[in-house]
Amino acid sequence: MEFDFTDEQIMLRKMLREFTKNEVTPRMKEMDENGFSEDLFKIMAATGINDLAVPEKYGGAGYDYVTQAMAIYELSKGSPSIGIILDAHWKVVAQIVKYGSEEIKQRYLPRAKDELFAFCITEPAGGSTIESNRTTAVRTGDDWVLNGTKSWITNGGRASVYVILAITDKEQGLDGRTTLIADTDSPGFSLGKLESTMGMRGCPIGEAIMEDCLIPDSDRLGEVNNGIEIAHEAHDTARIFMGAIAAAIQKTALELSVEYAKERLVYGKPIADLQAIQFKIAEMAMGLLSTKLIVYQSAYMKDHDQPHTREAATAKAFGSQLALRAADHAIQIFGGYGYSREYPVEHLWRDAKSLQIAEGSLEKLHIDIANVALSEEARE
Amino acid sequence: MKIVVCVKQIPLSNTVKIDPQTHNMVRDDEEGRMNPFDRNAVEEALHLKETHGAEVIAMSMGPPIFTSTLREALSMGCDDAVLLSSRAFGGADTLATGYTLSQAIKKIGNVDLILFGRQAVDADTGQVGPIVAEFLGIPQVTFVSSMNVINESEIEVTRFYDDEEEIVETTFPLVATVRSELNTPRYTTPLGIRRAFRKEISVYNETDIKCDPSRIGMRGSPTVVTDTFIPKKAGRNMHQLNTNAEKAARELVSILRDRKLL
Repeated sequence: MEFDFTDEQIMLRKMLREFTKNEVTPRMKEMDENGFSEDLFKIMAATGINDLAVPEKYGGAGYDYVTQAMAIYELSKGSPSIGIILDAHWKVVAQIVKYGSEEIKQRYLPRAKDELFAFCITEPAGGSTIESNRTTAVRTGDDWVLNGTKSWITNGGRASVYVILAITDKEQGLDGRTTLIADTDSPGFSLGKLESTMGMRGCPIGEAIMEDCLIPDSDRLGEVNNGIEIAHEAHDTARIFMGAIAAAIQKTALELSVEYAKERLVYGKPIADLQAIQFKIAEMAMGLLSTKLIVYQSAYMKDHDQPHTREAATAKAFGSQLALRAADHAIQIFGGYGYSREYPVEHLWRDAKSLQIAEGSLEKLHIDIANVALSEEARE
Repeated sequence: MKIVVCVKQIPLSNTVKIDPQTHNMVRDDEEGRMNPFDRNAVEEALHLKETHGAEVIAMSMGPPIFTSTLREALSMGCDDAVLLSSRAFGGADTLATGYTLSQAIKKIGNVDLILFGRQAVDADTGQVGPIVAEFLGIPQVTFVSSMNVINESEIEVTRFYDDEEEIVETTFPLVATVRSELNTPRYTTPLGIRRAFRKEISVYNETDIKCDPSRIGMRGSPTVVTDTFIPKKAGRNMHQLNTNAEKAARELVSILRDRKLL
């Protein structure tokens, strides 16, 4: 068993830390107030971060999932919103790499440097419950005609490439879904309203509307009626990354709390001397360690083509609970200042909350994990 | 154009470990970083490569662990990297270091421009660049804040001091030591890092670069470090004048006079 990063990963981490310190952290508050930072996205493109996950053959750096998770962790320390943006972006990259035809790879992957990608599953009725989706795609000659609305799309409104899960054979239920790639300029494709969210405000979340939207069959991702497998794969990928964001929130909450607890004096002594504070610090430190372990384990399993649905779900479900708890502890340690928007800890709390909802709610993940535990023979 | 950029690995943090016997800095087990001024030198070399076409070779001298700084230079875009590493080079002062580097530059041959940071922020001497120029018998310009290549054989450089600028026209080959005002170093990129780790770093010892054994390492170093210490932090001494502005001003003047500061 190997727990060390390679020298190459360590150098990349060093670069990402420097980048985060100089470019991401200073924009954290600005993004919380004004939303997506075009400026930062351009710098990330120029620095080769956006296409870090794209294979070298298509112009990227071709880093594996462990390295991608590490990159999301490092950048999210500066702003969890950046983590969410890359999470949604790279989960599309991952599915194109795995399921795309050579033509699709050549056409779309080089665009991952300067443009954003999005995966569209959720619909206004029924959230992420795929069973209740209504968007349809009907084959007419060489094209597919799509009708429906996708909502709560991470990167929605700002992305230019949208992978859409649509019903292609109603009779077959979940086995009758197909994924198709739409461009913002695809005929019949339009963008709907943007959501105003509580946290992760640097990440655009929007709606995509298909009205007799025409997609050529050459833009079909994967086989006809294999969409559900691709959607599940996309979920698994994203949940690992969300675990990495959860770890980053814990790391920031812990660092800020430690710094504050050492400085803040009560009755002439730093509050770090008080066990009530120490217990919170210890909980945060334990949570961070455990989240990182499950994140890197699930990324490792993905890199080695091992089944990782349960591990990825755990990274997100467990990580997001610990992240919200760490942010909560940080607010408590900061006291009144923690509740103030002048200090960054309340921001962490709002960002952490989103990790319990997006990409499968906490409750949905508990059901998934329980189903594996109840049905599967123990893998260990 | 062929450019050699000399880069030094310095300790990651500002806490420096000193060998109690030799009084030299301990470098073996430190996770390091590239001297910040050397990053400006690498950036300038890469800028010249992009604007005029050049082959850029990063060079360093030190223990094998210094390859990480050379990899950083490669990942920024340098074409090749050379590490001068041998037990025989250990304990070199600026003179022996300058000699060793100049021998390696001679081995590479036909080098038009040799760039250094104006000084390393650990030892702060700023001597190695000028010493290399002397050994090679070529012009040197220090504290450079801008460079403008005129043609294949001439260059205009600006030397920048705190209160004046000097514009120098000179010829290649040339040694220049650069200031941070010269440029903003680029980030390494993920793809650059990927490629840097596939490259071989050449390692030269004293035989490879035909060194005179009496001029390298401790033997070639006339500088004797008698003591190195980290200054003790002086305790802060605050005196608060709790009175109105007028009285406080009078009291302040009297205190300063007592201490012969006025």
